[in-house]
Amino acid sequence: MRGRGMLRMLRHEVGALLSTRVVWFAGLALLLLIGYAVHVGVRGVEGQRAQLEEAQAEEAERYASLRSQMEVIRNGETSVSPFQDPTRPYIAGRARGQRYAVLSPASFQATAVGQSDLIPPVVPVTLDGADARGGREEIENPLHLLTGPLDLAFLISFLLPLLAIALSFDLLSRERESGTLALLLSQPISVRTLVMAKGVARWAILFGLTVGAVAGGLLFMTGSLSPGRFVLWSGVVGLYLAFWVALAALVNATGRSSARNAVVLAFLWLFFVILIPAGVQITAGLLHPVPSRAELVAQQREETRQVEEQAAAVLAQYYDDHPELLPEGSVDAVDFQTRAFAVQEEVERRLRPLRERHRRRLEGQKTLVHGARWLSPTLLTHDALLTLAGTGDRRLAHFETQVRSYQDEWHDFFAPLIYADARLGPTELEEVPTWSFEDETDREVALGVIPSLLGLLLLSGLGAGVAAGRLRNGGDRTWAP
Amino acid sequence: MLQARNLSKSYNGTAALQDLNLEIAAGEIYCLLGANGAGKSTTIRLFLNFIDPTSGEALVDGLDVTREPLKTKHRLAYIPEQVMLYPHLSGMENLEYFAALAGHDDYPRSALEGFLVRSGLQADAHDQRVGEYSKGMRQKVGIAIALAKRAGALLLDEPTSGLDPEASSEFARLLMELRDDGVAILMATHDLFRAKEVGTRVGVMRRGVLRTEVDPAELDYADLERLYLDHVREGGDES
Repeated sequence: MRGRGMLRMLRHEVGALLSTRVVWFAGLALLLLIGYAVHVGVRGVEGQRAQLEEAQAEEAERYASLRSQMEVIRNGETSVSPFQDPTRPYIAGRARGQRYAVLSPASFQATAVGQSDLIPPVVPVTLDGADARGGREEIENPLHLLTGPLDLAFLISFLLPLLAIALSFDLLSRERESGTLALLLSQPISVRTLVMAKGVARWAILFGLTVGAVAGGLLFMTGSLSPGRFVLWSGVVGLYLAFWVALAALVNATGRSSARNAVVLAFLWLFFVILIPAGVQITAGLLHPVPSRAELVAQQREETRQVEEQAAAVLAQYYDDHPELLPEGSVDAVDFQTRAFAVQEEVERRLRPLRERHRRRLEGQKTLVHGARWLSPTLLTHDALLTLAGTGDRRLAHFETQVRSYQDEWHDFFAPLIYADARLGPTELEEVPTWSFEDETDREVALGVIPSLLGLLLLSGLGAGVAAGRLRNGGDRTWAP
Repeated sequence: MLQARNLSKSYNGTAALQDLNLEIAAGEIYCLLGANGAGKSTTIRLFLNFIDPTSGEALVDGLDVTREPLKTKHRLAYIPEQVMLYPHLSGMENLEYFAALAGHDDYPRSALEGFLVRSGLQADAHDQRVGEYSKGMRQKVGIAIALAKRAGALLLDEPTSGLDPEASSEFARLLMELRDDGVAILMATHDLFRAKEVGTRVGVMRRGVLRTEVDPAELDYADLERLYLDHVREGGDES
């Protein structure tokens, strides 16, 4: 009987909602926005893919021409200046022979542009180093959401709560104000069941519309829909929506007027969606200030100057450690490129602690921001959405780590060849390390999202629980007709 | 059927209802008279469990309304002074919805039509949106909702306000039919004439206290009016 009454109320609520203009307007706006957001995401993915293909084509072409040029030089058919000679490892290991570390779009990437428009997906790896962040020093910035592109993650975490509030701010207060609550509560139904039916109806309309439109949009524009990730994505969206509807129910349970409920909910939106993320960002900056890049550059200049002066000593030290690499003749006769490389390596070695410190500060900020996501369901949701899309800090860090180890591999391949003053031919060119990316597995992504899902479940359960507590019989019962 | 035992309600120390003792059996129509603020509506709201009593208890069929609110509401039908309905639905759809909430989700359309006809709503209005109804028409749908509930007790809070004399008289006839069917009726009203006509007992309240109780059959209309005025007038006879 009770379940049947609940179903009847649900049906009535959906009917009542569909009879109001605001619901159709909100629904239409949501559909249009979702369509646009999916389009933005898909365009971003296509752009990234085009960038990768261009880089890979360029690399293949360059390698083909290197190979033929090497043949010609080895056969002594031509002479080239040492600055142009690709058979020299110092030349081949830099711009001429550089390879690209590339990040392919993740399968579900169209759902969030996230950091992907800030991080170059194509990183040239050379002896001069690779910087996967392209010199970008900021970390994942919650405020970036505000200025970022209108992607799905933004739409879900910022705008969807506004729609949820627009539909539910008066879910109980309006029945009281229009006088229907008296007749309703004279029936054998509890106010909790009534509010639950109203909340569930609003949740179901928004959830159904969102999930349906996103599934439709993705299938239409990309022809595929990674089902596993889509299910998790729907879970995140569903729980986030549940949180906002539960919050609206809680505010309604205080028994104030609809107008007041609207104001309170608007303030809560501001608090969770704008103020907390901004506060987290400011706090992270204050607690873990990132040293200025100017400091790094200045120190680099200074170290370079000093090392240049001691170049001979640096070189001698190296060959003391690696006597087997010493070409015929003395250290003084060593090739100028080898010498330049030795200086570069020494400067790099001396700068390492500074770079390390830099990185630790960034890590500190990142850890703090990541931990602070528990302060607001919006941050939890956004983090989970980016993780699922593969455009968050998580996958990016994964990429950066692999770029660094590829860079080390690159260095370890070329350094001995440079010190030994060796020459490369087409055969050696085949042995130059190639890039391969080990992407996160779906399982890892799922495990990364589960804490956020549980957090959202807890928060929405808490909101619904407190609302139910206020809607019990007895007490002041300010909500009563 | 309806029973109040030392039922009291006060708001911030001000008594809205004091030690009400009342028993309304099946087949009785109890009319509560009194000025605005005398405690009539408070009594009805207490029976509906919209508010909690400060002390005492309200019983329906022997069940305490604060302990068994859903069970007691099954046994109660209620017509408020202003019946407010869903304006986007027709009278018929409103009736169907409220009847379903009351547990009667199996009425055929003919039965629902029967309730509307019995409450006096003209047939061509049944499928009209309630948004276009007059107050009297809404009141009639409220009556139909109460009829459809088939409850053993009926709580009425100025139910005839907004009804024209003809409809009001039809309503009185309807109440008497229900009384004969064994329904216990508690009606708060200002309408002395109606109270005299339909009431099996009449109580007069003032400032939260039930001052007197009479059998209207023993009085003529003028006596009843005098009695009412005596008890209701400020500074009237306190005995």
